[in-house]
Amino acid sequence: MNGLEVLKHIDRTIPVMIVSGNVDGTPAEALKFGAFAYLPKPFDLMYVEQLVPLALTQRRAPKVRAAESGV
Amino acid sequence: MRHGKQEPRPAPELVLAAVPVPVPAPAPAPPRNPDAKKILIVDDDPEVVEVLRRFFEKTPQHYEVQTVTSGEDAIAALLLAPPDLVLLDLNMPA
Repeated sequence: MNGLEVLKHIDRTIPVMIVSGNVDGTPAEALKFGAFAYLPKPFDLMYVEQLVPLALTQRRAPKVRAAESGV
Repeated sequence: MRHGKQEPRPAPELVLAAVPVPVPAPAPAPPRNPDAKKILIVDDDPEVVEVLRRFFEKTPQHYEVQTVTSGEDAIAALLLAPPDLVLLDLNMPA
C-alpha cells in the first residue's frame, strides 16, 4: 500500500504532512486529498520545526453537512 | 481421681491464608504529558524515520512519536490510536 492510498484512509480531520522524494504528479494529488503540506526530500529540519506547529493547528472539525448547516 | 488419658487434640488443620504475594510494581512509566501531541511517522526509510524521531523527541513533553514503515502498519496505527498529525512518505513499495 503506497502513501497515497494511506492518505485516502486518513480521517480528514487529522492533518497530514507529506515528506517524500520526487514523485511525478503525486504532490498535487496528495494536496487534493487533503494533505496540509508537501515537504520534498531531502528536507531541512528547520521546515519541519516550522510546519509542524502550524499543521497541528489545522485540525479541522468534521465537515458539517450542507443540509445541517442550512446552507 | 481419674487420670484419664487425655485425648490428644487433633492438630489444627493447616489453613493457608490467601496472603497476597507482593508483586513487584512495574517500573514507573516515564511521565507523560496528556497534552503531548501524537505524531505518526510513516516512512520506509529508517534513516528518515530516525531523523524525524530524534527531532520530535527533543521535546518529549510536546510530542509522543510512533513510527511505522509500511502503509499497512500505518492503517493499523491509525485505527488503534488516531494521531494528531501524520508525516507521510508517498514513495513506499506497494
